[in-house]
Amino acid sequence: MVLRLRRSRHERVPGFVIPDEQTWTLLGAESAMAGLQLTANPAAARVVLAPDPIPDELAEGVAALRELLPDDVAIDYRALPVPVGTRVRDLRVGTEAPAAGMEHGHGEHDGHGDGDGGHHDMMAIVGDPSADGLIMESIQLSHGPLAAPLPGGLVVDVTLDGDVVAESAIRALLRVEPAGPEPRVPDALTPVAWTVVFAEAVARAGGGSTGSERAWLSLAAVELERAVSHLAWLRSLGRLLDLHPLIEACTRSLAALQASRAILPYDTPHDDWLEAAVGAPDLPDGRDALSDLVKLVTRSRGLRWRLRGRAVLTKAEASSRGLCGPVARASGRAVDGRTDDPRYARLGFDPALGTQGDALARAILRAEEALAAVDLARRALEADACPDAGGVPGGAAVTEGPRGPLSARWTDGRWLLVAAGAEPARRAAADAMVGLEWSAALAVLASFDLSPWSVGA
Amino acid sequence: MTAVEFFFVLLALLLGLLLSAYALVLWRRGVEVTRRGEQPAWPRYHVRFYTVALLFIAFDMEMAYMYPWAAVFRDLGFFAYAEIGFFLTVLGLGIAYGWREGALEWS
Amino acid sequence: MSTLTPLGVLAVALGGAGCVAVLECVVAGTRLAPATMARLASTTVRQPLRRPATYDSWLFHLAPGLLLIAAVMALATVPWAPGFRGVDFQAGVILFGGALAYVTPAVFMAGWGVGTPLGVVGGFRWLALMLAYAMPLAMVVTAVAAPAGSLRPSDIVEVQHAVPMALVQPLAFALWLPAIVAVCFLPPFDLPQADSELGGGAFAGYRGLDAAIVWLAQRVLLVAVSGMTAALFLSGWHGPLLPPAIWMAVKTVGVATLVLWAGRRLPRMEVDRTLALAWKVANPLAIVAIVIAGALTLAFYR
Repeated sequence: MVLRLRRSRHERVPGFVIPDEQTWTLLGAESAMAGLQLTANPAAARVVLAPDPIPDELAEGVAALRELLPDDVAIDYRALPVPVGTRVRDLRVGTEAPAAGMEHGHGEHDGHGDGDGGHHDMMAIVGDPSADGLIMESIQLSHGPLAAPLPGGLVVDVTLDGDVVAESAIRALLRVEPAGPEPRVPDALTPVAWTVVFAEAVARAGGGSTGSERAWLSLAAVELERAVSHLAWLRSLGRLLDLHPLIEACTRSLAALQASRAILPYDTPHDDWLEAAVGAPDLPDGRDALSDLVKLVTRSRGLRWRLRGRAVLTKAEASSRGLCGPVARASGRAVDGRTDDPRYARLGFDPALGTQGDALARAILRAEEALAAVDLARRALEADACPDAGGVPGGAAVTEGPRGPLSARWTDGRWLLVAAGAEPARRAAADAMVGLEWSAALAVLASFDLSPWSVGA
Repeated sequence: MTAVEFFFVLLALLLGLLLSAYALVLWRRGVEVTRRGEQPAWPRYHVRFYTVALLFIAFDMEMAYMYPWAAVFRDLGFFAYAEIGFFLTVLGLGIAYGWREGALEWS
Repeated sequence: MSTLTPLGVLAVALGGAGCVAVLECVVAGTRLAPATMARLASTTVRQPLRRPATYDSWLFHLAPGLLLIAAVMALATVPWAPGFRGVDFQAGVILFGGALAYVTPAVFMAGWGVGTPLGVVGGFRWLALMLAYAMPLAMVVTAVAAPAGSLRPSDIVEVQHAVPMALVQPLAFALWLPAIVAVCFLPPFDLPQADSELGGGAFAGYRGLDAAIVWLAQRVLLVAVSGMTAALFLSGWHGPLLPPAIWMAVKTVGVATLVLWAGRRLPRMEVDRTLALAWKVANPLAIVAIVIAGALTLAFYR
């Protein structure tokens, strides 16, 4: 037990980030949040950051948020280094391309009941017999879409029996409409992975293959984004649980990765940004911080108290629900798009698998995957000849993103985008929340690492 | 002054400070009413509070006996100790019973 | 107890709250900025009072005041020095618990009065937390009072002139510390106002003076429970060299720092696990602690 009295270099101002800090980190704006002490209570915020332009679906949430902010605080709109929902430049299928500039996609409300996305909203007393046959008056609540530290744009409609969740449904509000041969990144939380998928899909649509020395750079970029995504998620989990050692360890690891220019700006032409990418000598710094983080996550008693034994998903259940990504792997279901890829085999890839399938296993698995991702990235950048990834020309391009496989295909004059496992994960999270007390339910929800962007049809 | 007088004086001081602070703020700034037209979310309390509260009240009543015991025990010797041991055993059995019957399950 | 003692208690309350604010900055590693703090304080107080229309007006506006009254009353029972013992009541430790009992309706009134779903949930979570911490707190007090043969806090301080109670009854001390953190609803037991889970929870509806009073009350509570910890477990004002009041101040600050530091290292506790821990582990252990205290009294304190 060590009492560390640190001198801080600057004052940390309480701040609130719209839509959430994960988005800002992954879109390259981590440094904008440097002087902020992020808070989930808008009433305590002195600084509010929002992206410019802001997705339409969040408009109501922002309006509700304004009511909760202190009177003398105004929302600070800033242009992110990579705007939300941006198109991938210089990648298009065919010869025609719409001339439009940077636009973000339009949103579609899912029209479920009266979801008016306020901060805490929708109070209604509904009388319904509970499990023991008593008529309980329950609370109906739409938590979100700007309910930090959950991802912004995620709305959880719950019926609370006192403080226990009786029913829950999860909606992802944010959406980017794919239009025309120019691909748009449909999920702002995995921009690099989608860019790589689109590049491959364009190559396939043109009938080409995907092997080249630039393929190593693509792979490294995807892996580094995976690491950053998992770290940003771990940090938001730390904020939810109010576990400061975890938050600080994640911030250190993220800073170390940032220092190696791990976030690749993809608003430059695709051919160029791969060249301007990561410098391998910087990666070992990130690695030390990350291995400390993995040790912290595996040994942390606090995390174990909160997450052990919560929302256990067995292997069979993961298969039957169609889950992918770290959620499935933590249950023991070995579904990883990288296992069949010869490039990853060349790098010595070994998928991390968990056994318990509970929330703690998911957290530990993501931390280990982040560390493995940094190792893979370094090896990819140091390797030379790249084997061909294989695959059918004209078929779908698939990449394993941080939350599951992402695939894109250009057919019949439109893009077919699939983020497998996203909707099953939302349903699994909603089902897992039922019967748990509110804080346990939120921890379980966070452990699924849901994306608030709905992709596909 | 006696304890009662002390508390009255302290309470009077506190109330005076609080009321004058509130009066000042109300006079200078007033009250701002927000969120009109929404229904309050006031549910009935859940039955599981009841079971734990029953246990709690049993123990609270026990405390009413434990406090005087603590004050006089030092002078009374081993007999008082045995008595309170018996009392505590009965209460421990109470917790065990509640535990077995699932009174402590929260979700 | 002179006529100035109530004023002294108020002075300790306000001064202590200021010290706790400084300690929070130190423990969190943020820079102390008195100018910013002063500006924040004045902005807070200069705002109009705000209340949501879905409120229960009496409960909503009475809660902060009741919280502060409870905190100051609890502080009044703490003995600070041989010459300044607060109320020095014959059943002082019971009075301490009794004053703290008023925190419960205050926090629930805040949550219920604001009427938002998460506020009400915050109020209910506080009730559950109270059911968890109240019994270990009361039973440990008994375990500490038995060796002293008295419920007067200054008598308990006197009986520790040789050895502090924390060393004689470590089990009781280990049960006491989480309970007092829970009373102050500080992390890891900040269930009613959990920022990240409830967006402010039971106290989210307050602005301006109400919010300032809630903030002040929580700090005064911390001072009160830290002071009582120092008195009951750490030999109070006994110690070499320094004057008694300084020793009490040092020990109180030490306990408060420990509480704040632990809050930053541990995640927020969950209601069901807290209740399970309290009733399955803490209460049986508290009974054991009383039995041990009885044996120790018979052996050493007669």
